[in-house]
Amino acid sequence: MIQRILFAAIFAGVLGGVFVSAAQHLKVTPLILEAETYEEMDAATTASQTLATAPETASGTLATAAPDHDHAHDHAGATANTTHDHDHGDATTTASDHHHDENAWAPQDGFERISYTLLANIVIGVGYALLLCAGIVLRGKDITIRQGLMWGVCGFLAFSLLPSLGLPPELPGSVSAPLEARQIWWLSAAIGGAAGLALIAFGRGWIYKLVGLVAIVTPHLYGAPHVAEALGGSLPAELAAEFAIASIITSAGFWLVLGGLSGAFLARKPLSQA
Amino acid sequence: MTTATKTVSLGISQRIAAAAVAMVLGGVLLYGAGFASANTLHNAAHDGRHAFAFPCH
Repeated sequence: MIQRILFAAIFAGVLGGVFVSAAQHLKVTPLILEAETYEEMDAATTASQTLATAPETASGTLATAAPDHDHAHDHAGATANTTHDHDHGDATTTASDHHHDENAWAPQDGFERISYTLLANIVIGVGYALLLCAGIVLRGKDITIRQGLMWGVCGFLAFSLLPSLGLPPELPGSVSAPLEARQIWWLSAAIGGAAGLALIAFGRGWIYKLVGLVAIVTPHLYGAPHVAEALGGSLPAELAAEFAIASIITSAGFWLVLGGLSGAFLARKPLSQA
Repeated sequence: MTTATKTVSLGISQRIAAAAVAMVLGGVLLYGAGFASANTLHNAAHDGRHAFAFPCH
């Protein structure tokens, strides 16, 4: 059985990864590259400011998100005193928390970077496909391509759409809460979403469905970690919005491909057979 | 040509074991590509992380 899962997941994952890499080239990757020009601009500004002002802010966190940035558009003053719904996180981290180690290896822009992105997408694809196939095998019912697509839709809901409700897909250079807090929240939303959807879909009796619903909504009621000034730096809000939508739509396509292919590969033989 | 297809029936424990192995393996792959904080891994998978909306940076 494990060989069958591996076979299905590797094929579906590799094809899904290749598909998503091509799809990302339409909009997602150009937006990332564009955002990086703003990120570099901000880094240059911050560097020149920290040289001129207090040395203790040179590394690590700046005390507040807004005032230390040279805003092209003046929402710094305008929003400084407004109350934000998502203000419960530790609001002390800014874009300067990006610890981009200048000496660390990074792929060269162009072919090398595209190749590593393709590789990363394939690894992510195989990883998600393994989870998806594991779910299908645990369920134990024979599967069709059509049902595979439904599994893909649920994967998209659990691992893309639901987490993005709290933590929208972010461009490089976005100002956000500490990484670890966001990772933990993302995981809780994704695992809660996946377990919750499974309980609602397969649980017999309302109590299972109720527990499933609670698992889905609890991370969202608790709230994702955010900083007061959600969009800092000079990154234009339109760019961030465009990226969020492009990323979500690309993910939706990826999950449909992954679900359909996983279903197709696992449908070759009844799941009750080894 | 005669094809002797072996039909081995699978018990639930075998399915659970296979699914558990697949989940652990999938989790390890996703952790490496999406979450691990090592600089090299981060830089290599950078665009993929942003595109898949893993929390990055």
